[in-house]
Amino acid sequence: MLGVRSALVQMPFRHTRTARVSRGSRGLLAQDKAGIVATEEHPLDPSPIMTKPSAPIYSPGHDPAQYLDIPDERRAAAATHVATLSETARRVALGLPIQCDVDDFRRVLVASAPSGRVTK
Amino acid sequence: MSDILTASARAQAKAIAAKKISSIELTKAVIARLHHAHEISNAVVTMEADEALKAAKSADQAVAKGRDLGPLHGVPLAHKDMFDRTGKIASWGAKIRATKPASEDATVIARYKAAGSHQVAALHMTEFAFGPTGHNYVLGHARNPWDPTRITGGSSSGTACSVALGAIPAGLGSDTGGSLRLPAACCGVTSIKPTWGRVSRAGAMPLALCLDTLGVIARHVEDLALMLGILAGHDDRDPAASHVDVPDYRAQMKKSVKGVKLGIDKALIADADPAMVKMVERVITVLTKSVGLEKTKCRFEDWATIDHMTQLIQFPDAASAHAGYMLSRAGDYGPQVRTRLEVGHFVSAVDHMTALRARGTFLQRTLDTTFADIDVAILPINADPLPTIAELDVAGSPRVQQVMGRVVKFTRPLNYLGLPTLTLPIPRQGGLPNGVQIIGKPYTEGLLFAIGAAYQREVPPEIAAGVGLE
Repeated sequence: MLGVRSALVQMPFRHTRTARVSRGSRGLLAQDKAGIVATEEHPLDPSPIMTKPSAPIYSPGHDPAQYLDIPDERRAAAATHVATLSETARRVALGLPIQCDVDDFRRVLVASAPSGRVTK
Repeated sequence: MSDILTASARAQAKAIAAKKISSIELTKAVIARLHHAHEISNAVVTMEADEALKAAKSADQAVAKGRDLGPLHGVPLAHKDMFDRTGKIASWGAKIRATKPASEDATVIARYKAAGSHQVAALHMTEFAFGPTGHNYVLGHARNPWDPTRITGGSSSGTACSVALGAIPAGLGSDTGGSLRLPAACCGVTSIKPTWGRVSRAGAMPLALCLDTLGVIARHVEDLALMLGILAGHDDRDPAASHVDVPDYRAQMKKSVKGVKLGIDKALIADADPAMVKMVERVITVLTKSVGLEKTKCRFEDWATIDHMTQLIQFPDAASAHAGYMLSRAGDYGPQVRTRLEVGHFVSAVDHMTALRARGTFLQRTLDTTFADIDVAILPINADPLPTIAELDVAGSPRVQQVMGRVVKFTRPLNYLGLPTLTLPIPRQGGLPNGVQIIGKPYTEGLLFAIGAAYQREVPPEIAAGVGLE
C-alpha cells in the first residue's frame, strides 16, 4: 500500500512544506549550491507578488473568442470573470514546482484509499 | 401499492423474489406514478412503458422458473437522460443531440441491467447537465415536488423529483459541480457523489471529464450502498475508472459510527444564509446527540482558491467538448448554457494546465490539514434556503456567473478535490426541504453510508408532501 507519507514523498512540495511546518516560518529564503533562491513557504500560500494589481481590464482589442458570436456586454462579463480566475492561477503558479503534473491527483486519490488494495 | 412504492429498491427486489408482488404490477404502478411526477415536476423526458412492461414480464418468468436473481431483479428504475442505451438517442436535456442511436449501453446502464433492473423512463436534466438549478430553456424548467414555484436543483433534476415523489426508489445522476447533491438537497432526498473515478463514465454524456462523476440519488441510504456496489469498479472503457477494490458497502453501512470525528468549519459554514446555518446545526445536533459522532473543528483554508481552480478546469473542459457545436449550432443552445460555455473560450491554456497540475497538491494539502484530525466533514449544499424558479431565472444575463457561483459555492470545489460526499436531507420540521453534505476522504463511501444509515434511523426518508399516494 502506498500511504499518505509515501504520496508526500512523491509530491514535489514535500520538502518546502515540511520546512515551513518545522521552522514555523514563512517567507524564509534558502540558497542552494547553484545560487538558486528557493522559497520555503508552502508553495500554494499567497505570495507577495499576488498583491500587485495584475487583473487585466477587458479591452475589445484583445479578444480570445472572436470566432464566437457574443454580444459585447456578455463578452465583457466573461472576460472580467476569467481575469479574476486567471489572477488566482498566476498566484498558484508562482508556488507550484515544475515537477507537478496532472497525474498527481490520481496518485494521491489512490494512495489515500483505506483498503490500499488495487486490482489490475 | 403505496407501501411498496415507498419501499427501498432492496425491499422491492425482495418482494418480487418472494412473489409478494410481480415485477409487472410494480412496473405498472411506477408508470402511473411517473406520469403523476411529470405533471407536478416536469420530471420525465421519455416514458418507455411498453419496453418496461416487456422486461418486467421476463423478470417475472425468471422468478417463476427459480432462476438466480440479481440484487435488483425486476425493479423498475428511471434515470437522467444522458446515458447511452443501445438503439436509442439520449436527449442530453438539449435540442442538440447525437445524430445516430447508441451502439452500446453505457457501463452504468449495463451494470444495472446485469443486476436485474429495467428502465421505465428517461428523466429531466439541465441542458447538457450544465446548470445547478433545474432551469432548462429547451425542455422547460423542472418544478420542486414540495413547492412547484421553487427550484429542484440541477442538473439531475428529474431523478431527484421522481425519487422524492415516490415514483422510483433510486436513479442515476451525474455531478460536475454539484449536480447530484443540489437536486437531492432541494428535493429532500439522499445522494452519493462517489470518489472521482470510482464509477465508470463510459457511455455517459461528458460535460467536463476531469470533474464528471456518476452517482445515485435515492430515498434510502441503504439503496445508495447497494447501488454503488453494483456500479463501482474498474472498466476498460473508461481509462479514469479506478482499480481500487470495491468493498462490501452494505456490510460497511452496518458498522457503528460512534466516536467518528465530524469536522465543522464554522467560518465557511457562516458564509451561508443564517437560515441555512441553522439547518446545518439541526443536522449536527442529530449526528452528535443521537448518532454518536464527535464534533471537531476543521478548516477548509483553500476553499476560494480551489473554487477558482475548479472553474479553470470546468469551463474550458466543457467549452472544448462543445466547441464544434458552438461554432456550428450556437443558436440551438438555451441562453444560459450558451453563455456559460462561452466563458471557457476566454480561459488561457496555461491557466487551465496550472489548475490541473496543482490539483494533486491541493488534494494532499486538504487531507493533511482539513482532514488531519477528522474522519468526515459537514457543509451545507445550498448557500440559501430554496429560491423560486423566477428568482434564479437569469437565462443568459451577464450576471449568470455570479448567480450560479452562489448556488454552487459549497459544492463545486469538492469536484476539484474528487472527494466522496453523501447528501442528507435536513429534518424539515414542516418547512421546505434542504440538505447537507457529509464529506469523506477518498474511497470512504462505506463510512459515509454507515453515518447516513444511522442518521435515517433518526430522520426517516419522506415522500414529497401534498401529493397523495394512490
